[in-house]
Amino acid sequence: MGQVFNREDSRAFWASDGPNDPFGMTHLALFAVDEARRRGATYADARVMDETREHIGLRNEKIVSCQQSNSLGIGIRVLVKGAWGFAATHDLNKSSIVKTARLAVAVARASALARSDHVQLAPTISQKSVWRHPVVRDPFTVPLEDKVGVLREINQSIQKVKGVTFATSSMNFKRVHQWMASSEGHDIDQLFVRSGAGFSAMAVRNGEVQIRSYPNSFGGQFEQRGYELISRLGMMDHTQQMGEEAVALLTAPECPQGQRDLVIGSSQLALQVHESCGHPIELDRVLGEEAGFMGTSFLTTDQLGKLRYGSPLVSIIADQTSEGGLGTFGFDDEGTPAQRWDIVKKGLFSGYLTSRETARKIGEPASRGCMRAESWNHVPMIRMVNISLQPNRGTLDQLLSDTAEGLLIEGTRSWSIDQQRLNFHFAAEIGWEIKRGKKVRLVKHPRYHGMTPKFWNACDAICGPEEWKLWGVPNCGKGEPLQIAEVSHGASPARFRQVSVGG
Amino acid sequence: MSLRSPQEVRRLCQMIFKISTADETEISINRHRLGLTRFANNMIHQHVEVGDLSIAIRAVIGQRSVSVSTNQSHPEILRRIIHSAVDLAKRQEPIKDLLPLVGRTRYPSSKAYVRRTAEVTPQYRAKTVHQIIKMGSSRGLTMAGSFSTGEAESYLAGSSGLFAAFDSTFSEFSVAALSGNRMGCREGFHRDVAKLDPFRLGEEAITEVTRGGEPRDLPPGRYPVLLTAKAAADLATYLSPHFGALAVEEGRSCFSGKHAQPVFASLITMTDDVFHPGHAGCPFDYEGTPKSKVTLVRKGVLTNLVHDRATAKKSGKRCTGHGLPVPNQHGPMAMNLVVAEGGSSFQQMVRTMKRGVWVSGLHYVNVVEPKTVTLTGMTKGTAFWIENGEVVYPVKTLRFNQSALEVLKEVDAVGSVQENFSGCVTPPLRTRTFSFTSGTGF
Repeated sequence: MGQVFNREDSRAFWASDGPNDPFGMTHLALFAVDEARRRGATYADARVMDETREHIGLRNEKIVSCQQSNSLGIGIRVLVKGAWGFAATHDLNKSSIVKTARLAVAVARASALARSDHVQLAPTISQKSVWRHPVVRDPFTVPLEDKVGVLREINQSIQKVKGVTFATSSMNFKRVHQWMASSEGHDIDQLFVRSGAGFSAMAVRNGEVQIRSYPNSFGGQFEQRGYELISRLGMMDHTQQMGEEAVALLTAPECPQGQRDLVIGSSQLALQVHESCGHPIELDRVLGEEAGFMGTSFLTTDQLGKLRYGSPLVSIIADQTSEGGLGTFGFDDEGTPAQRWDIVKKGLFSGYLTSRETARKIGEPASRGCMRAESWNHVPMIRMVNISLQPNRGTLDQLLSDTAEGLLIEGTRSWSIDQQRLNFHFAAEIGWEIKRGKKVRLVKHPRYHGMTPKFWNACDAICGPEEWKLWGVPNCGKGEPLQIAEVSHGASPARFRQVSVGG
Repeated sequence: MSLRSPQEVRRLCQMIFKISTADETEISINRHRLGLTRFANNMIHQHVEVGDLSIAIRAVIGQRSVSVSTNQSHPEILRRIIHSAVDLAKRQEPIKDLLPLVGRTRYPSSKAYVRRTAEVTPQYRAKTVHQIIKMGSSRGLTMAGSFSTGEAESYLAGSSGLFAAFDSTFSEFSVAALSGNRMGCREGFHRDVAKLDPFRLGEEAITEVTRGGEPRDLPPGRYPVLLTAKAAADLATYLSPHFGALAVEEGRSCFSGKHAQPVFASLITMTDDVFHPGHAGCPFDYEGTPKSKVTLVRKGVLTNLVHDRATAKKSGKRCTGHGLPVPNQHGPMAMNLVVAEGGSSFQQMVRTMKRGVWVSGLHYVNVVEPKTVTLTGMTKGTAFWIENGEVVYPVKTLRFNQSALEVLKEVDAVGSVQENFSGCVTPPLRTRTFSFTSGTGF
């Protein structure tokens, strides 16, 4: 998804849309790369990024956030004596870029002090392209009062529900224009527009806090789309239901504990995919590069093509072309084109997220293009893209009628997983007991825990495409200094047999 | 426009105030520079020197407020930002109870900037890391971690006459020594790089991972636990939002309705004190109010909460300088916790422990239930089984589900040496009960 233009065609594109590079950002990126090479880099890449953000938040009738920000700068990454260095500056005049390129080279030379091997990169094909994801309505052209008006209406509707204490709603918008150049001939111009919105109904009584969120917890749903996303979310249609559920949870019985057949809703399952699949397939993590911070991975390289990760129903793909995905782009930060490949194929562990450096280490012919930096002043590292559980068949109602006894859970409240991505614990916003194929009773504090391969091998039903949704996760954290990546996960509701519930 | 000194920053602010047509204008300027050397598999694999600038202009027109920020100091760009903020503020809806800007104020001085920390070079960090790697690799271990240094400046100015300035330096070292599935880890943090001891931290991580043979399983259950300072800090920081007056008033806090009641063991005295040498030391909050030391819990009894200007005005209490950027939905927060030292050395705490688990750190902690501050997470590094005052053997990584409140209520020994970690300075703590719910095989 998205349109790639050859450089030679791009003039026509620019002519129709107005100049896209009025300040010569491509030239600055190329200049930075040339300067780094002059200082001794055997490889260099540079990214100029111009990023604009807007956040609006309301709590009950009060505006609690109304901010716009812009950030512009350049990051320069180099290889010198087989070691990496990276430096960045917000100052885009040429003398500052020269200093920064010099600094990146000095940093790399220092790194070489403590490197026993030389970094080697898998081959690449140089790309000169312009990439755009279609946007119907630029969110930054929508008047502020319109946005506040939408959120106010949502909050007022939620507050009409008796027992609701707080109604919070928010919108987030981000536009990133990135120009990337490399010493291997890359010259790539990409523009990303991302939008997100959502609300929560909170009921507080005697210190107990119950929350119901729509379309998703922690800020809502996020997609690579313009303001057209807001009406598509249909938030007003769900305000009453969420308010009523939050209040009902205060007096609902506690979720029963023990081994249960568990039906996990689409958004919670997306987070399960994120934590128990998305992170352990990051090849830099597998190879030990995150051991000092967030851990390693049980998906060691000897398991590739051998480990039964899940039941035969379980197929998970990585896809950098998914329409509206936060992990959708034309090229990663090393200039590798977007692609789609198997991570788990009918239960068999089949693929990793790689970079040019890590692909070479495991003998793959090329990178899978997963290098993404949060911003111009962050170094690219392997990040998730769109990692999705493939749908199977049937509706959620059909799945529930097929479940004699169990638990249905939706919405995320908390998540935790161990250092190798095996032992996990999730808490959801809401649960329903299932008896004889029907939802019979609301329960609160539904939680479940398990071990990743055992859990996925217990999957015996996945709903079909009609229930599948691509969920945006805008806050994936990794690395030092910490970087936040925006990723997406698609999932349909699914059933898992005899999962440990409670704890 | 250059911003090389407080005087230049003042000139920039005066320029902005002259252009702005808002009723009030608030300017927040933050600049930082960070050098971070990261290592894994016994080599440096990432190494960065980065920084940024943020100039945020909040335009207030009546009760309307909008903030627009940029990282560019060119006058033309700033002019555009100011006009944008004013224009947006005019179209904004009024914010109920929005307070006027803080006026001219005096702040206590804070010596948080150490030149030698700011001057640390990539070469210095790389050499240090190289030596740490050799310490471990010569013993057959794999070393990983990071060494970061840097400096930060913050300014807050208002058309009301407010002008506050603060600069600081920081250095942080974290190290993991790995042997198979086992890990020993340590962290240290100090504004003065000369007082950070990466070599001691490296040795301790190595000792932890090589001590005591093969880790054994520990059955799930409740056990007495000895938390190192790091593990105690990992837990205690989850209490930070609960000491805020707005959270208490709204019933969202675990301390709601508990003023003057025992909430922790009587051995625990906890303050919020940004001026403690272990904290960053910024003397003003996001509204420009001078920060004050607040005794939150004295000998186990909930004594005070932290206030911003809005909660102070509403309650008739003194503003303690714990405000977040205006507007916000959270209310004031206690972000510089200090647990007072006790009388027991770490060795004494081990020697007087009949049975239990020594926990070095916590991993991937999250809140399962906010009312009781029930947390879930994993032990980090190597935990050890203690029996009859002796460290007997290492245990495999464990998952816990445990209320932080209960941990602090059941503390029966407090260590005599505090350590600094982001957000919390604390000694080790020993507690009678801690719930481990499952293991993970490594």
